[in-house]
Amino acid sequence: MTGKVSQKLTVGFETNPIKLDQSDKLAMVFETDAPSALANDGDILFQYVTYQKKGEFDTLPTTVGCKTVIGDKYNNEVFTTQGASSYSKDSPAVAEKKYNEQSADERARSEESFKISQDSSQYDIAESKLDKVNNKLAPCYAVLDMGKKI
Amino acid sequence: MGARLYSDADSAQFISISDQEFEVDFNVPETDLDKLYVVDLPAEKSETVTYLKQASFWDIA
Repeated sequence: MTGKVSQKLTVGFETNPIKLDQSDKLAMVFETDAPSALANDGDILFQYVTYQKKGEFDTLPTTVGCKTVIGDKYNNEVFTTQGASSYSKDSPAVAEKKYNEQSADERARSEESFKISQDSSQYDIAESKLDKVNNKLAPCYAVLDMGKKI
Repeated sequence: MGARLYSDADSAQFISISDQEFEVDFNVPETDLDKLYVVDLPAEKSETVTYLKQASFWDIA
């Protein structure tokens, strides 16, 4: 099978300086644009990012994993782990593991974990930006309530 | 950063469709209203400062 694939991650703060009692949020929007022949309805798409502040080696890397089911905008999960295990495809923490078993022993505390949105449109399949005929775009939204104003 | 496809929730086999590493600059936005808005008021009204006449939001996603 041939086709084009792209992945995009947008990260930003959601802040409202007017409402002093409303804490700010850190949000991530994953987008995978892939051939429909590859991403079939019912397939589980797991998009992830691992990040660590540059030069901050005494803090463990954080990984945010966003799971959607192709064609089902109501079936979503977000996982947050903090640990040294790699999420690359060949990592022992990933290989031969189900999507929800990856680095399961490194899950972050609830208050430090990203969550899904109740807005199902954030997970709805959209028109491809690469190939409108043969591709589909699968988004996934994860948000962390920072519990404070930035 | 990457993405994987599983055929169902019980599958431990996957197709990796992206797997890459990169470095980015990530900056906290300015939220100090004093720095975001310039307010010119006569001295006698300086105790009451209205920063915003309309609600403004930043939705960065």
